Amino acid sequence: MLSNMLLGRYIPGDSVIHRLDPRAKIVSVLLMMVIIFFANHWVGYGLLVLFVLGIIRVAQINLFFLFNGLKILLFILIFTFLLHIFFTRGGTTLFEWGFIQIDSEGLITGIYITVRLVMLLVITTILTLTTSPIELTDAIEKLGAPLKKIKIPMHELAMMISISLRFIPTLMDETEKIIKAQSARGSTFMTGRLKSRINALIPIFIPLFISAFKRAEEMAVAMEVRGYTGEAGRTSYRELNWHLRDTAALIVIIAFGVLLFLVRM
Amino acid sequence: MKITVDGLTSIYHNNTPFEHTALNNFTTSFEPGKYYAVIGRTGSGKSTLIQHLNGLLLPTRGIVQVGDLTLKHRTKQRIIHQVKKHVGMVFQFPEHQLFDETILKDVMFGPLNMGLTEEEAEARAEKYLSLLGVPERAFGRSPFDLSGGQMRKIAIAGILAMEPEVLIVDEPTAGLDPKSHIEVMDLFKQIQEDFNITIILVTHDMNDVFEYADEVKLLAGGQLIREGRTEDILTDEKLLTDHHLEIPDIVRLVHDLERKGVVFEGMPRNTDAFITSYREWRALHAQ
Repeated sequence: MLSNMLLGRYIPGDSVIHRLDPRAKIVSVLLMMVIIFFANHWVGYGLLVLFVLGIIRVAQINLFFLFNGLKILLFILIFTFLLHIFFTRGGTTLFEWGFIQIDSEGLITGIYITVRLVMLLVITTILTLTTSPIELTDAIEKLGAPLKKIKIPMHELAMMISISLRFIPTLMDETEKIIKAQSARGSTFMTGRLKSRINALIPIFIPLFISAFKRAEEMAVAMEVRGYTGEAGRTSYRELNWHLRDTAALIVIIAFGVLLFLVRM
Repeated sequence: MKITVDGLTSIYHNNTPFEHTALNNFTTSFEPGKYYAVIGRTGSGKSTLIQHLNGLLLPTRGIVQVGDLTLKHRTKQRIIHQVKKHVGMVFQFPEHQLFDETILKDVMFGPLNMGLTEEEAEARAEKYLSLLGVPERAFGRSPFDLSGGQMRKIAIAGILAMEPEVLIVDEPTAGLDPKSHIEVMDLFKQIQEDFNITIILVTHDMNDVFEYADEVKLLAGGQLIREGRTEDILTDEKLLTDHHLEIPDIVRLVHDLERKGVVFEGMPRNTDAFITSYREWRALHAQ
């Protein structure tokens, strides 16, 4: 059920994408987020989908598995799609019934925006799927190093991000355990009326919050007793090395961005 | 209530890279009123098995028959809900499932879900809290003010108040102090005898198994390796060592004594019985 969830989960592997420098991967994802918005008609979107599928292929991620893991966000996608279908006007009217009117423009925009969202989700999920949280943190810290000059605590921020990422799966597992325990006590949050379903969430959230707070406190104590003081004079066990392939990856992304910009209409 | 497991195969994350077969063509049965122990090293499929017995997991293949209710690959929620009325489950660290403002309300949660009225649920809660030795003045207190051992008792009362005919307990003593450990284990034995319910205990503690269980099911790699009477399985040192399980202290002691020429009649199951056996032996052999 919840364990299918892929957000924030890392799956070790040995593809080219896995081996890329995490800094290159983060910069690529940021670039892709911009590039996605270059596409403005079907040729652009087509190229975009193909390019992303290509990346998934190179990263050796099972396509079915990837989309299955993102199913949990389906609701948001459908909601966005419907919003555009019903509220965007223009083009020819395809369907009219009472106050409901669907225009061709709305349908097209709906599809485009949904594709855009899915691509954004997929791109960011590929990043977390192929990069371990430790690598991610190191990269964020290194990339943010210039910000330290203006007194932004990059190390602490990176630490916080990595701890949060690290605990998403733990919390998911914990939620599943509590759901099981309460459902063994006859709690029925999967069936019944909306009101009783919402009520049935209380016995799940309270234990979850309690254990999350406990965990956070234990973690803080454990860090303190081991003398964690934030950044002060810290050296790195893992050195990040920039290879030729990392430069190549960035060039590919930029080239794709240029291509997508050129096919704009 | 009899439980029959027939050809149960359980696969986690079917059709994904994480696919994992936890149980493979598993067949066994649990007779009413008996005390069972399910043993095996970590990853042997114990937890998966017990979750199938009350419908938390559904079989990928095969069936689980609970009384006249059948659990299959696509059993309806309504049937599963029925099964949960009959088969109670105390998870590892059950104190993590406490949530309500007062102890009494928390224990009433299960009975209320089973469709009892407020009064009936309250009566049940009071009955089982008293059985566990929780004083009445504590009923209105928050369960979060209690110590770990006490919290666990409240959580157990929450399951008992549902009056299941089969009670599954998963590592009920993990993290408890020795005194609470004995109290909790004695409690399960007592309710098995007093209310004639089936207990299915999952544990790594072979001393507990040896002292309390009537029958043992030994699992390894998702398969049933052996099942039978506790005194037959837990005295088989080779079998236990082969499956990375501890030999119960009493068994080890009795076997050591045998090598020194002190041979008891029958195998004592707990410390008191051991002392009695030893006295009898002394009476016969002492000059």
